[in-house]
Amino acid sequence: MAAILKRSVLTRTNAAFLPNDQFLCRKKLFIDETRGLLQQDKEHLNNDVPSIDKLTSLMKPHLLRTKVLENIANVGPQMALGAWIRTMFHGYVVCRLPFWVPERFRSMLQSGIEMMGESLDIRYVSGLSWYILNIFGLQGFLFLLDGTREVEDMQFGSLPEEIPEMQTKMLMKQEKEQWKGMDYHW
Amino acid sequence: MELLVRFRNCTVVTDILEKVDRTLEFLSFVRVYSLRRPDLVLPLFRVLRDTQVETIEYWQAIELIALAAADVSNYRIFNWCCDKIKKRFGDNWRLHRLLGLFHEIRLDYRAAAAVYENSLVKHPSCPQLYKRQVAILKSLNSYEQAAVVLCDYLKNFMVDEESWCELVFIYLYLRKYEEAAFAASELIILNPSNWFYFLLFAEIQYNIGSYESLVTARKYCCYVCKMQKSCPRVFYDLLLVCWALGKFPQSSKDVNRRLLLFASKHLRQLYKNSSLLFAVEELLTHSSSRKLKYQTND
Repeated sequence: MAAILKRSVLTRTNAAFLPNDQFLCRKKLFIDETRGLLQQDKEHLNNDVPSIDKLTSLMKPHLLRTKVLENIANVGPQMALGAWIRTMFHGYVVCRLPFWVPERFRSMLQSGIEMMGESLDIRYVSGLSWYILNIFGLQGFLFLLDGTREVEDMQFGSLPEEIPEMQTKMLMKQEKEQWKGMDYHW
Repeated sequence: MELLVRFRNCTVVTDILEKVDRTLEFLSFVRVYSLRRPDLVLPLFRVLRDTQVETIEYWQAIELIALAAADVSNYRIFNWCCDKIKKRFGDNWRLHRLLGLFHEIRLDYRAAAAVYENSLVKHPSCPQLYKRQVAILKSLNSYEQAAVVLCDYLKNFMVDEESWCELVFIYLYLRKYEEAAFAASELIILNPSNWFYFLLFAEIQYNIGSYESLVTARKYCCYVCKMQKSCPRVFYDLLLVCWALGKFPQSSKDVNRRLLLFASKHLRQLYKNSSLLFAVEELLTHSSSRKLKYQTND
């Protein structure tokens, strides 16, 4: 698509160097209603290949519902497990860190055992805190081990990749308009 | 001469590091100017064989040495270079291109085509491999097929000037002047500052031979005369076009006459200090006598 755009821009820019028949031939090549090179975006959408933009899908509620249900299916068990851990390990101390930790990390490492106050050494880690640290901290390590990654936020993460494709389609549409409004003199 | 001086500079130095530097510089020079001198490149193989420099110039030099070895059918050096490249970079398209070129040099076009086809499956966006396929077809005199392959390539790589130029000459070989004119006009679009493309287009239009195409050719010849005043071919083409247009009654005789005088004057000026001036005078005398014949026929 980028090559088509580049060729179209060059042809329009340097059309004054072409005789009339060559110019008309190229105009038809680019903006013909059925087989023009700049009409390829329409052909793409008519195909069965699902190439709907992510941004467009967010604007369509019936498609958005599918995405939300998928997210619930992925995140739901995580939340349920977290709730179960909270009830099971509430008030338990799981381990003790072998290194000194500043005081500001108390709420992060000892969530669920705040009632003990500040008399407990900051290095002791509660069950809930240990669970949360492992879940989020070991994602990278688990990815290295099995090579798969949860796709919970892939939908939003891939948006920047889709936008350039949208820009290309917009540019092709603009290019077609430029061809139609073009003033040609040899 | 400069090449031999540079080569000598590589061989006379005794310090190993400086020798390697000069060798790499010399081989870069050979590569940049696309010189095919295996007699100068291969003796420098032993300088690079025992060194391991992780720079891009080193690996480009190894590639060049492999090509030079293939030129003289030195399989030992060629295999050594390919193995070294494969160990460092793995299986890649440049290695496949080397292997394909090796088969081409041995005139084993079938093996070369197979190598390129297999490589294109893994690296479909590699222009050099497509171009080698076209080169093989041309070597086998299959110009029609070469044009088809080149057109398919140009559907994806539309702004490749070199390929459009190649397509022009393939169509000219096949005497397909309309298609050649299209490809030549594409060259004009890609690089309108190159006067040669305008001249090429004018010559193709002249070869088509119809009244409209001759008028177009004349217009383009005049434009090239404005851009390039020191090339005799330009003025000679203008003469030919005006002669050819003189046969058509609807063409403007006044414009033709003035352009003929203009071209004659410039040709005489360009050849005034040359030993070929007599040939130019004879050509122009012949043209003026033809002009008189047309005028009497009117």
